[in-house]
Formats: sequence, structure tokens, C-alpha cells
Amino acid sequence: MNKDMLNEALEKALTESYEELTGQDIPDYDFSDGFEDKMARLISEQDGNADKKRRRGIILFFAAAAAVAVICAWAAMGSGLRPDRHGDYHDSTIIQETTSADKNETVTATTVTGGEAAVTHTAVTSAEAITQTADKTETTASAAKAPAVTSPSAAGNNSNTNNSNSAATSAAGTANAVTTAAAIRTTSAAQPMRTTSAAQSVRTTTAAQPVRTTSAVPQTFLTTDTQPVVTTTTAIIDERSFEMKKMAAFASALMTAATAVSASASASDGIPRPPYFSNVYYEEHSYDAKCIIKMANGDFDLDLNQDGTFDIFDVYAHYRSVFNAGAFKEMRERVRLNGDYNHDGYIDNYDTQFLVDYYLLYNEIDTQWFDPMYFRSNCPDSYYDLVDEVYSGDERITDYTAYLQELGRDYNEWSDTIYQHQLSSVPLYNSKEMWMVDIDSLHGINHDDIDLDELIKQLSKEQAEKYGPVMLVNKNEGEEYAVETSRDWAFLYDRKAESEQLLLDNAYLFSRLLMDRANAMERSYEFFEKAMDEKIDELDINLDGRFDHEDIAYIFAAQNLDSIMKRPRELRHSEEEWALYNSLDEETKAALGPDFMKEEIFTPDSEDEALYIAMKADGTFDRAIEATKITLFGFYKYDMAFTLDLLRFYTKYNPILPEYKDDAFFDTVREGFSRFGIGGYFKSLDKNGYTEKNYTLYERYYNELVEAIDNGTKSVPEINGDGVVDINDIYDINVFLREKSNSVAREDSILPERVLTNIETNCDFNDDGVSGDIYDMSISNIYLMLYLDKFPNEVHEHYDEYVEQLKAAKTGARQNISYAYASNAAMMSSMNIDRSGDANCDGETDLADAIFIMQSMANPDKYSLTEHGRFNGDVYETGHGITANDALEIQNRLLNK
Amino acid sequence: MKGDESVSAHKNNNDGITFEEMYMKNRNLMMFTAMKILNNFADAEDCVSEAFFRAAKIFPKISRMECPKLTSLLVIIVRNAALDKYRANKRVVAVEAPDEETGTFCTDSYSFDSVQSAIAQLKDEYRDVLTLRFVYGYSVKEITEILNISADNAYKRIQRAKTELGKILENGGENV
Repeated sequence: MNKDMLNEALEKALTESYEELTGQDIPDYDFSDGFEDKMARLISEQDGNADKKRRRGIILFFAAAAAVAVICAWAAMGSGLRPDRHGDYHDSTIIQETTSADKNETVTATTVTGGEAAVTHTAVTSAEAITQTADKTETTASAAKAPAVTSPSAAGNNSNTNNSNSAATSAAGTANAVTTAAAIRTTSAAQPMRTTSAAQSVRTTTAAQPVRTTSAVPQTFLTTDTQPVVTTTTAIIDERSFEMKKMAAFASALMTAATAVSASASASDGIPRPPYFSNVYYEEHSYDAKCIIKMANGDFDLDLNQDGTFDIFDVYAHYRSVFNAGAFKEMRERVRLNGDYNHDGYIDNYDTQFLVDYYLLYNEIDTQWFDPMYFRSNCPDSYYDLVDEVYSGDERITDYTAYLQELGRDYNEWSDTIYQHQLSSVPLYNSKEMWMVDIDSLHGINHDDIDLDELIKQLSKEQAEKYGPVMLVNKNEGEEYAVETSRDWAFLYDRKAESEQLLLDNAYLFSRLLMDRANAMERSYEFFEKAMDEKIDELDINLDGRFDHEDIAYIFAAQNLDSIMKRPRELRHSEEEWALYNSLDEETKAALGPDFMKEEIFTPDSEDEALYIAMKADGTFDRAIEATKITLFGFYKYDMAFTLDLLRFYTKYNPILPEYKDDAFFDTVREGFSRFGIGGYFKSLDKNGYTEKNYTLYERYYNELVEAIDNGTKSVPEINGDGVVDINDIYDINVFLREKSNSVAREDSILPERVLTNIETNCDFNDDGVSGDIYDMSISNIYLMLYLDKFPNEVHEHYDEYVEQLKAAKTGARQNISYAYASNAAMMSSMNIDRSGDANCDGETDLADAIFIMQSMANPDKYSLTEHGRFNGDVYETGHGITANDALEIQNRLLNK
Repeated sequence: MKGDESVSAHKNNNDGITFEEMYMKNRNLMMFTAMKILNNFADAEDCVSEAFFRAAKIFPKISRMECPKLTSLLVIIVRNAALDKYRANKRVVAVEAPDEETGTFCTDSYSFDSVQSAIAQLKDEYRDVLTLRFVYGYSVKEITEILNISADNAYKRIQRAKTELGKILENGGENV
């Protein structure tokens, strides 16, 4: 059946269905008043009347407020009004109570682009939200320049982390202000709860699951789309002039208008975004994202345990209810009534996941959550725990880290044994909590032809006795063998599920869910970084007083050696195994393959062994292995996750020099390290030499460069050695970086010799002793763009032409690489560097910029911020994009001049 | 259409139908569809309003649609909303079939009539999602908006619909 026929058949079915429908006797229904009212509002919105009136109203409000302010200011200046005529002049505050048009009314949120369904909200007082924003000026101002980091221990409070933390705190605080408002959720019937047994899979992430690509500019946290009653308190300094007072009044009016604008603006401006939204799993405007946002909007009563607050224990309550994990009836009923977050009519693990994700997105991650003991010790609610009945006293786990590490060791022993018996050549499929061994892949024969059960029993008796059962699967035919409890079977569980106690331990399973979701949303690095910062001294493996590339080399070398030295030295089968094998017919033996009963003695490479012994003797091996356990609650899925996070952490304090990507270089750290492919780890960070998501080092270098230029110790970067700072310097940087990333040899470069020499000798802008590395070129690129008042999209107008000229002038140059201009706008926009506030790019920072921001939010089609304007205007919580708070911040800066 | 004769059918023109016209023309039919499933006036009203809200999200696109197609789309939306409501009310835990590999459709030629007959035997949910996908040409993302289901569910439903259709065809046009 081809697609066209399907289409045609469906069309015809549709037509017939229509004829059938319209041929019926359809009554005239007498709809209820409530329904008619709802529809009337929807009709008026859709047919444009209400929308047009609202927009006109906002713009008029703006214009009126501006006009009043201007008139008053002019009148004051011109009329000689004496301050003491205004009774409250000497008061320290001005209280202005303004209300939106719909104060205290139940309003229906507009139908916004992107498709938010209309919901009913009660008015929420968001004074807290408003005043909180005013308090954030200091945070922003202090973030303008990152502090110089001279040593790892001094860098515990990295400015970037602080900013994101403060943003998270303020955002979370405001989010909580929203979520604790009366939540309106009209459900005509309790939702069915689909309970899940503990063994049923949660939608956990796997290594193969794609990480959603993220925008480099985190979405900003914005005010809600409810119509607030706004009580604005503006602190006024006594000695301010009357004119400034009126300016403050205008700012207040602007703040009110900002609230009104954001309340009625499109989804992208009026709906709260979590601080970490852009980094995560959810695509903007996706259905799943909307479920999360609805939670933030207060659509649900999230205080499931009714202790007056929404916290991690409410999330735990949902989990315990859904997974049939000992939640009592009352709790389950509350979850049933309130816990269908994706509106699919069921309460299930998907809802739990949404709640977990919402909590993780809107809150700073607390590392305690990943220790099951935290829930066992602090949960305010009672749950029935089967695990406490089965395991009591000394049997009960009290140190999960140690317990899981012990299991990990057991797993290694098991895998070694499997290796000995050649089963490691089998693809092992890890599904749910059990290993599945595919019979046909294992043996390549039809399992009906041989008593495989018996064979496996005999071959793996020792492992079976030690490790218990596992599920054996014939993957091709979709069959599963029943899980046997007999320990004669060579079945093995996933290392973490080897322990029945863990399978019953809901605190453990919940912590694991949190970790899985944190990993999925790329939040796990944050607590990794925190934990690493707290124990950074332990990362100084070679005890030279620094955490640097040498320590990284030691860690990776030790990990490699650990694996090498654990390999079994002998691969031999027992007499019984040989007897059974010899009893098989030739055809079966052939099917099993020539290596099935291979035996060998394994001797580690003498150099590896010697290095291992030496590192054990001087303590570096043990320190390196211990260092890898720093953050583990046993939850890292695979070593690579730790590796990448460790490397990312490394770049927080250290550069990646070109030589680090060469394995041979690490023999200079310690003879023999070149064997471990350490250069490859550094290459893996980013082939252009930096991690995309960690601009901390760039910010630091950039701000140091700015400071040096400002105080005269450095001059403005001049890249191409022609004595002139112009756009060609920016072009040359781009060409240079392109050639670097494509490994173009110096002699093949299209850049003139003068340029190459200047880059190699006069471009060490970060004073690290290397001229022209990725850091030098990147920070000078940014500096020059701002210096020349150009933004990436404005720079490359003549770039292609310039490249062609270079190519034409350099005979014999490589022609087969792309020199396409690579915009660093995303990087620039994310970096915490000073912004001018000139949102309209007219060269001045004034009230017009604030107004332009507000206009662009109200009517983005008509008032469109350019990329450059967005960069300039992102003055509040820089790096988080344009919001109404940027307009306010510009105002505050003007007032405080 | 019976029941809405007071509103003359709005002929397609360059401006398309207004929302009010679309509402007046189709509300009774949609109510009728919802009532057939739910047999409860209040619930049916809820579903009709929900359906119009979903239609509002895509109204700019559908306002220029021909009347029969527009009406059919609205019926699809309200029918799915009513089925969701029905399941919720009955606390029915939909037994989702395990993920099946859809494989590929056999390239054997099926007659048009057999395909059409197989479509008629599909349950409404499956037929609706195939119609939205292949007749209306909506993307999965758009289907999630219209049917108010998650992307995952939308994908699964399309896959299962195709699988089910294939099974009916392979069984000689009988839904076993």
C-alpha cells in the first residue's frame, strides 16, 4: 500500500464521514450561560477585537505615563515650584498604588502565540516579585567584571556560579511566589491513578538519549501572566531633586506598565521560565515544556503533603503514590486529584517525571537529594516501607556510597569472570534492572537444539552461586525465560540491582530518579562542580600545590592502570566444563566457535606493571583513584560522564594548551603516561579548544584585558600588524581560527606572513605565555567588536569578499576548506561582560532604550530588537536575555548617574 | 447543515471564515458528537469548549479551509476530547499496547477498496490521527496541540494506527 493510496482512501473516508454527520438530525442545543460566556470571550479574542483594544490601551498608557512625566518635569523646571509645596517630598518613600485594569478580577489569560490554552487565574499579588527585581541591581553591578582567580582555592565563589545561584534564588523565590498562590484546577472528576510497581521502569535516560540542543542564551525569568495588584514601593533619597522624583515616578509607572505588558504579551514574554530552561531537555513551546510551565503558573496544587510548602518531599509523595511505594490512602487520593500534570487522564510515572523535572528546573540542586539517607532521615511523611520489614538492624544500609562502591567492585569481579569464560564477547543488553543475555548472539545456534540451560549452568556455576539469577532472553523471537531464583543459573543482575535491598528501597530509587533527571537536563554538573570545589585540595594528586593538567593526567593514568591491573591473569576452564564441552557433537562445537573454550595466561605489560607499582609506592595511584570517588553517590552511569565533567571542571581554572592534545606530551608529566591517550581526553572537550557551555575562563580573561586597556598597561588589540585597528583585524581573527580548526599548516594559510607573525608574537592578551591561542583570539575578537561597535551580524558584510582577496593574493594556498564567518554572538551573549544599555543602537544610552525594550516586548513585529540591541540591552542578569527588568535597570542607571 | 440553517455557509473567499461563523456553524454538530460518547450534557459542553480552544490555536491556518474539511476537523478534535473525558470519568486505565515495531508496510498492492474498508474498521482514535497526519498534513507537533496529547503519545498513536491498518489489510480486510 503506498502513501498516495492511503491519502486518497483517508480523504474519501473523511468525505463520507462528513456526509454522514451532516445528514443526521442535529438538535439545537440550549447551551449554558457559562459556556456561552466563555465562547463569547474566545470569539472576541480570535476575531481580534479585544486584542486590538488591549494593545491600544497599553500603548496609550505608555504614552500617557511618559507624557505626564515629561510635562511634570518640564513644569517643575520651568515654573519654579518649590519642593516644600509637595508634602511628601521629604519622606523617604513614595508609595504608589496602581492597579491593573482587572484588579481582583478573575481574568482569562489571553490565547497566546505558541498555543497556551486559556486558563482561569485569580489575581496574584506579585509585589514580592516586583520588589525583588529592584533588589537585584547590586548583583548585576557586581557581576560586571569577574574577579581575577589566582588559585583554585580562592575561586570557590566563582562569579558566574554566584550569578546563576542568585538568579536561581530570585527566580525560584518568585516562582514560589507564583506557585503558592491559590491554584485553580477545575477537574470534574478525580483522575485515575495508574500505579506502577517498583520494578516498572521509570522513564530514565540512557546514554543514547539525545540531549536537546540548547540556545546559548538562557531564557530569562519573567513575570507571570496573571494580572497583579501592584503595590510599588520606591525608596527615594531625600536630597533628590524634584525632577528626579518625577523621573522615579515615571520609573514606577514604567514598572506598572511593564507588568501589564508582560501580563498580556505573547507566551515567550509572559510565561515564567526557569533559570535553566535553555540548558535542558525540553524544547521551547513543546507540549512537555508547557506542562512544566503550567506548574510554574500555579495551575496545580503542588503541596501534596499539605505541609504548607512545596518542596522535594512533595515530589517524593507523588513518586511514592504513583509507584505503589507505601503511600497511604489519603496521600494517594491527593495525588490522584492533583497529580495529572500532562493532562492525559492518568496519574503515572510520566507525571512524576514532570514534577521532578519542574522541581529540578526551578530550584538549585541540593546534593543531599542524591543520598537516599536524606529522605529516610528527613521526610515529614509516613510511608510503609517493605524494605524495613525485610531488612532490619545491621542489615539496613546506612552508607549508600560505600554500599554501592562495594557493589561496583562485585560487578568488576563478575565482569572479569565473564571475560574469563568468553561471555564478554556477547553483546549484553541492559534493560530495566537486569542484564539480558541474548542466546542467539551468544551462541549463534537455535536454542532448541541444545540444552543451553545445562551448558550455561555447568560453565558458570561459580558465578551463579555468587551472583544470583539474571534474565536470559531470546531477543530475536521476543521470548523471555522466566527469572529463576535458583542460584544454579548463571543469571546476573545489573550491578546496582544485584542487591534486592536496593530494589525495595524507595528512598534509593527516588534518589536515582532525581539523579537520572538531573543528568538528562544537564544539571548534574552543577553539583559536581560544587562538590569538586569543596574538595579541590584532594585533586592535587602530585601534591605540587596546584590543580592542573598534571593532576588530570595522573587521574586518567590511574584509571587506565586500575583497569589493566584488574584483568584476570588466567583464563582456564574446570574439568567439569571440559567434560561437558567434549560431550557435545561436532556441529554444536562448530557453532560455538573455536574460541569458546580458549585458555590463556594474561601478563600485564611490564611497563604498565612497573608504573603501577611506582605510583602505588608514591601514593599518586591511590590519591588519583580516591579523587574519582569524590562526587559519587554511586550514581554515575558510566565512567565517561565523570571524565567529561572532570575535564569541564578543569577548564574552570585552567587553559587547554595545544600541547595537551598530544598524547606524547604527557611523558613530560611522568614517563609512560603517553600510553594512556590522555591527549584524546583534552581533544574531546572541543575541537576548537574550549567547552561550549563554560565561558568562565573567557570572561575572566576578557575582563582582565579590558581592565588592562583601561588602565593603560595594554593597548587595544591589533591583530594583523598593519598599525590600524579596524574591521580587517576581526576578519583576520576569523580566518585564523577557521584555519586552526581545520588544522591548516602555516605554509598553507591564506593570511599574509605579516599577519601570522604578528599573531604568533604580539597577541598574548591573557598573559599565559602563548601568543595567538584560542583565548587570545576569542577575547580580542569580542573586544574589537565592541570597540568598533559592531556585532557579529554586522561584521561579516564584506567578510567573504575579504577572504577571496586573501586567497587570490596567496598562491598555492589550500582552497578546499570553508572560511565561512563563524558568529560568536551566542558566546558573547552568554558571557557576563558589561553591556551598554543602548538597546536601540543609536550610540546613546537613554530613556529611549528603555522604552524601546518595552515596545519590542509589547509589539515585537513593529519594534524589533536587533541582535546587537539585545546584546547591549541585556543589562539585568546579563546573559539571560531581554526582559522588562532590563528596561528598569536602564532607568535605574540613568537615575543613579 | 441541520440545526444551523440560520447561519448561511460562509463561502471561501480570500479572507476566510471568522471564528464566530465557524463556531455558530459547527457547535451543535460538535455537541452532538460529544453527547454520543459521553451522554452527559455538562461534560459534553466542556469538551466542545475545549475543542474550540484547541481550534483557536490553529485558527489562522484553518480559517481558509473548505467547509467540509473544517467541520470534519472540528469533529475529530471534539471526538478525541470526548474520548479523553470518557476515560477520565470511567477511571479507565488505557491499556497501551506495548511498543511494537511497525516494520515496513508490505509493498504488495492492496486494492483501493480494501484500504478504504480497512480504514473504516479502524477505531476512531486511529483513523483520526491518520487523517490529521495524511489528509490535513499536520506535523506531529501540531497534532499534539490539536489532540492535547504529548509528542510521545502522538508518535505512538500514529505508529499503532499504521500497524493496526496493516494488520487489518493482512487479515484480508477483517479486524481480528
